[in-house]
This record gives sequence, structure tokens and C-alpha cells, in this order.
Amino acid sequence: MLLEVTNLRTSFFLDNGELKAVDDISFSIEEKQTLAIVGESGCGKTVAAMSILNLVSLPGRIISGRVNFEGANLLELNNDKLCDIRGRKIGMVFQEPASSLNPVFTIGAQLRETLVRHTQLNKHEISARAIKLLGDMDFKEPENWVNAYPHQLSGGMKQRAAIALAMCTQPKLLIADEPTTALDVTVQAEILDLLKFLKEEHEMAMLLISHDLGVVAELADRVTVMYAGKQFENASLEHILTVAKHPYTQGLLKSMLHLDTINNDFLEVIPGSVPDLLDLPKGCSFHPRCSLKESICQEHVPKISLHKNNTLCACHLVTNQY
Amino acid sequence: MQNQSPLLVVKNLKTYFPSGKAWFGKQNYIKAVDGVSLRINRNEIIGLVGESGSGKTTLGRSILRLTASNQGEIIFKGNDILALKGSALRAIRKEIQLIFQDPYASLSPRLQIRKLIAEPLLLHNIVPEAMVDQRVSELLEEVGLENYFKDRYPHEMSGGQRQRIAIARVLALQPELIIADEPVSALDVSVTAQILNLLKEIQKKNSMSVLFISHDLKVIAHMADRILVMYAGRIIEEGMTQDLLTHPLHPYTKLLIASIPSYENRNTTRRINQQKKSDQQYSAKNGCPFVGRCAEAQSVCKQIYPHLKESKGNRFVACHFN
Ligand SMILES: Nc1ncnc2c1ncn2[C@@H]1O[C@H](COP(=O)(O)OP(=O)(O)O)[C@@H](O)[C@H]1O
Ligand SMILES: Nc1ncnc2c1ncn2[C@@H]1O[C@H](COP(=O)(O)OP(=O)(O)O)[C@@H](O)[C@H]1O
Ligand code: SF4
Ligand code: SF4
Ligand SMILES: [Mg+2]
Ligand SMILES: [Mg+2]
Repeated sequence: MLLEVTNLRTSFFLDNGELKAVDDISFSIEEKQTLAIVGESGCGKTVAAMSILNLVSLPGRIISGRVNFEGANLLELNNDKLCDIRGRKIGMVFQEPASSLNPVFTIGAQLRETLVRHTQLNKHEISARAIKLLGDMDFKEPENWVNAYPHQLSGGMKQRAAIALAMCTQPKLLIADEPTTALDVTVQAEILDLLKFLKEEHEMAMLLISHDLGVVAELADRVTVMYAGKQFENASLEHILTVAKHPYTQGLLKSMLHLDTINNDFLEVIPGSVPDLLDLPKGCSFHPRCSLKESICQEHVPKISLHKNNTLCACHLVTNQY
Repeated sequence: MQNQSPLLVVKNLKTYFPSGKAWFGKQNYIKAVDGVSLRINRNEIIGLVGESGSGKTTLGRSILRLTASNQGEIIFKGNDILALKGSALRAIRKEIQLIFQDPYASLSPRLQIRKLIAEPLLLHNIVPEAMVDQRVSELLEEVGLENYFKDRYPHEMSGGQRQRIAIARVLALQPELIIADEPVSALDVSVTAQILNLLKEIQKKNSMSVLFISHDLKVIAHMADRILVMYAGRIIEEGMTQDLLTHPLHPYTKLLIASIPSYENRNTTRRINQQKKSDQQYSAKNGCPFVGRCAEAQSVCKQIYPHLKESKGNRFVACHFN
């Protein structure tokens, strides 16, 4: 197992209470595997990723849990070791490429700096590698683009440059937080193509965060569904797309649009919206929106439990038989 | 239905924005809307799709005369909107209403919901003052909100609830045409489905026409009877929804469809990038605006502009080869 997250909890301690952004989630990622965290906005996906990297800052705090990466618990490493792993073994890409790129340096300078820090290559090799990296990211005429500043690039090119930066050290794991959300659909497709190619080529594992089940279906092998800080379901992609058992997962799938929903039909919807994390409903946090709820749901929080086919599900009605 | 006179006809509309300084020589323009012609029938939902910057918002605002156009005709129920002034223009404004992506910006934060919905009713003398509160209740019910929301303020509501308020305000005026500009683009998956259903429901119930603008072809496919595809200020393809999606003619429409992320695309890599010869987008001076990105381009495409022309089966396309 490349990454193993166990019972992770992260809260923000705010004036009006403790906001449990990540409330006891566990999952693992095998080498070369892509796991997607899906859920609507505010459900804790980004905080989960930041917690894995031990990058949570006040008023947030990681309360408990383990994050084993290649055997070491990232939550207990000293700062030097942690920085080394984050720099070399785990790459990161965010929704806004601007958060990875420094506006005052050229793309090439940023790539070279990262290469100097993390490789033993000489100056000449580093320059050549920077150009090759951009070429690998589908930059045409990369030898010209290394000299460009971030503002000279289009949105899609910026994201490809940010991915190049993350790929400098050939990481074992790439964490990509909504990497295509801000982009036009044609540019999104370019980035998805690129990510698929890089995964194959470098035998890299990926933690993908997305609210878009289409993106997830294209990239992920395994899916974990988050809702209001909790993990509701964790299963293989095929399982999620075909026989998902959790009522929230089913609801998300039904609200998903496809081109062949062309018609005059109405969509089946989940009523209401994601609750305020500071004011969660008692029992199952989904119960006010759940058409299947029973009285137990309004009293007791469902525990996440293991089912057949290595599937996890947190719902009172989904019993061990399934 | 074909013989019935259309609600709105737009002819050769041009809206240009000055760009850069005109020091020497001639002023440059951004041709945001560059010769658009379209027709909206009664009781019809027209989908307008295209990437960001293609001119969709400018087209919508030009129809309402919120943005001044340089040339063209906008004929609403037989009257040329561009020639109207004063009370006649105000009367038309009541009949064409706009719904935005971000309802927050259009709702005064200091007013309670009861006042926000009463505002258009009073402004346009829709109902006698004594009946206003009753009508506000009905409108709230129509958009699926409980009566107690009357006492709330916009900031106390979720994004989806605010969009419902914006829709109630529009419904208050019983317009004949709604221009909905990315009305679900800021919403979560589950809430998007709710709002799409609501828009469909009120359109049917009130036999209104809708110009539904979105960058997301999946949303458009679900909503529209007929689709217009916009690229660089022009309509480059038009057709009935099912036809256009199952047999796209224009290479850009084909690209939009191929770009939609899905499970079926898992094993295709680099479907988009192989077509690109350069990151520098080439645009022809007189030729096809899409030529720099087109997989089917030939040399004529750089010289001659393809006008929108009728193709088989009530289809329109602006391409030399399709
Ligand atoms: N720095 C912060 N301070 C306070 N609350 C935060 C902070 N960052 C995130 N949160 C809260 O944590 C919850 C989860 O946020 P996030 O992980 O960003 O959601 P997602 O990525 O799923 O949209 C949200 O309720 C958000 O408001
Ligand atoms: N008020 C304005 N002044 C100058 N340029 C504008 C203005 N509004 C839009 N534009 C430009 O017009 C083009 C079309 O923009 P817009 O209509 O917003 O496209 P879309 O809604 O399809 O994203 C863009 O290049 C945009 O930058
Ligand atoms: S536990 Fe109850 S309320 Fe929660 S998802 Fe399951 S059935 Fe619905
Ligand atoms: S006219 Fe030429 S460049 Fe334009 S879309 Fe058609 S084939 Fe492509
Ligand atoms: Mg996030
Ligand atoms: Mg727009």
C-alpha cells in the first residue's frame, strides 16, 4: 500500500464552535492506483488532502489519525523529512494553477529551481530536463515556452506548467485538487488526457479531488464519497457507477447530467442542500434529505462498515448482506 | 408551429468593445458579438453554448439593451428594440427578464425576501398593494420555498435558495422571455438538478420562452429544444437538440462533445492534443475563426470565411466542409 489514511480527523476551532471538516475518514491508495474523493462543495475534500500532507494551519488542527506513506506516518515526521517527502515523492496540483506558479519567475526558472533542489543533475542537464518536461506536458515548441512568465500563458497552459512542476521529481503520488474545474471543457479534456498519460507513463498513483462524477469516471479506479466531513461510501469505480448502495451516492448519480438526458424529462433530485458543518443534523447528517430515512437515522450516526467486495458504506439501511 | 410568428428575431447583431488605445492609426475592437442572427419561438427553450469569452453574455445583454450594440436589429413581438425609447423600452424590459449566475449580486443584501419579491410587483403595478403579500406567498410556493423565508435576508440563504428567489422575482413579472445566463454554473450538483427542474417546470406552466446560456453542453442538452453553438462572437452551428448532438456537423461542436468527461473516454488519451500544432493560437484574418484549432482544416479555411448556411434537415452550419 502506497498511502494509508486511518481515522483522520481535522477540525477548525472557530468562535462559534468546532467545525469538523474531516470527521474520521479512512482510505488507502495502492501503487499506480487513482482514488477520487467526490462530494459537493464544503464537504471536506480539500481539508482532507491538506491533512494528508500535514499542511493544516490554525484555526485548523489535525486531531487524530495516521497517514502512512511508504511506511512512515506523515503526521509524526519532523519537518525536514516531511518537506523532503512532499517535495520529491508527492506532487500537488490545485484548481488555481496560480497557487503553484510564482508570477515573477519564468516557467523555466521555476522548473530549474525545483530540479536543482531535488536532483543531482548538472546545470546543462537541468536546462535540458526543464524543456523536456514542458514537451512532455504537450507544450509545442517547449524551448520557447520555458522563457515565458505565467501571465503569458493561457489557463490550460498554466495548469500544464503547474503539472510539469509537480512532475519534476517523478513523484509516486500526485494529489490533484479539482485540477480542471476552472477550465473550459475542451481545455479540461486536454488536462484529463495529459493526466491519464502521465499516470501510465510514470506508473504514478493519484489522489483526485473532484465534484464532477464525469471527471471521476474518466480517471479514477476507486472512489470515496464524502458528505459533510464524513465518508459515506468507498468502493471501486465500477461499483459506484453501477451498484452504489448509499442513498447519497445514488442521489448524486441520478442528478448527474449526460448528453443522452436530452429530453423533456425532469431529473430525480436530492432535495435541500449540504448542511452547515457547524450545525449538523443529529444522527445521519444526510437524513433531512434522505427519502429512505427511518427513525434510527435521526438518532444515531451510522458507522462505516465493511461489506462484500471490499466496499465501505455508512448507512443504517445498508446491511452486511449486500 | 413553423408558421407561428417568432417571439424574438435578431438580425446581424454586432456588439464591439474598443480594446487598446487608439494612438496612431485605427482603433482595435473586441468583436464580442459579430453578426449574430437568431430566432426564438414562443414556448421554446433555446440553448446557447460556447466556451468562456465566446460572447454569450454580451449577446444576452445586447438583446436587453443592457449593452449597446453597434449594428443589427432586435425584433421582439414585431417591435425593433433598438429603436425603442422611454416607456416603450421599459414595457419591453418587463417582458424580457434576466437570470444571472450569481443571484447574490442582483439581490440587495439589506432587503428581506418579502421586500425583494414585492419590489417588481410594486414597481410595475402588477397587483394592487393589498394583494402584494398574498402574491409573494404564491411566488415563494411556486419556486419551492416555505413561507417563512419571507423574513430572511439573502445572506441567510444558500446559493440554490437565492437562485430560487431570483426566479421568483422574474416570475413576478410574468415575462414572455427569460434570458438565463449560466444560472446553475455556481451551484452544487444536487442543487443544479433542482434548479434545472424548476426552470423547466415554470417554463412549461407559463408557456414562456427561454434563452438558456451555458458553457456546459450537458446542461444545454438537458434543457434546450434547439441549440445554438457560439464561437468567437458568431453562431457556428444550429440544430434541434437531438439532431445536433447525435450528428454534429461543425468540427467545433464535435470537439465540444468529445471533450465531455465520461467513463467511455477512460481509455482514450490525447484525443485533443494530437490535433494541435502550436500553443500559439493561429487566427485567420479573413478565414475561419476556428482554423487554428480545427482538425479538418484545409488551405481554403485560412482565406475564406465560412458563413452560416443551411444544411440538410433544417440544420445550419458555418464550415466549408460540413
Ligand atoms: N481555514 C478555514 N477556516 C475555517 N473553516 C474552514 C477553513 N478551511 C475550510 N473550512 C471549512 O471546512 C469545511 C470543508 O472545506 P473544504 O475541505 O474546503 O471543502 P471542499 O473542498 O469539499 O469543498 C467547510 O465547511 C469549510 O468552510
Ligand atoms: N464590458 C466589456 N468591455 C470590454 N470587453 C468586454 C466587455 N464584456 C465582455 N467583453 C469581452 O467580450 C468577449 C465576450 O465576452 P462574454 O460575452 O462575457 O463571453 P461569454 O459570456 O461567452 O464568456 C470577451 O473577449 C470579453 O473579454
Ligand atoms: S443512514 Fe438513514 S438517513 Fe442516512 S443515508 Fe442511510 S437511510 Fe438515509
Ligand atoms: S471552415 Fe475549415 S477551419 Fe473552419 S471549421 Fe470548417 S474545416 Fe475547420
Ligand atoms: Mg475544495
Ligand atoms: Mg458569460
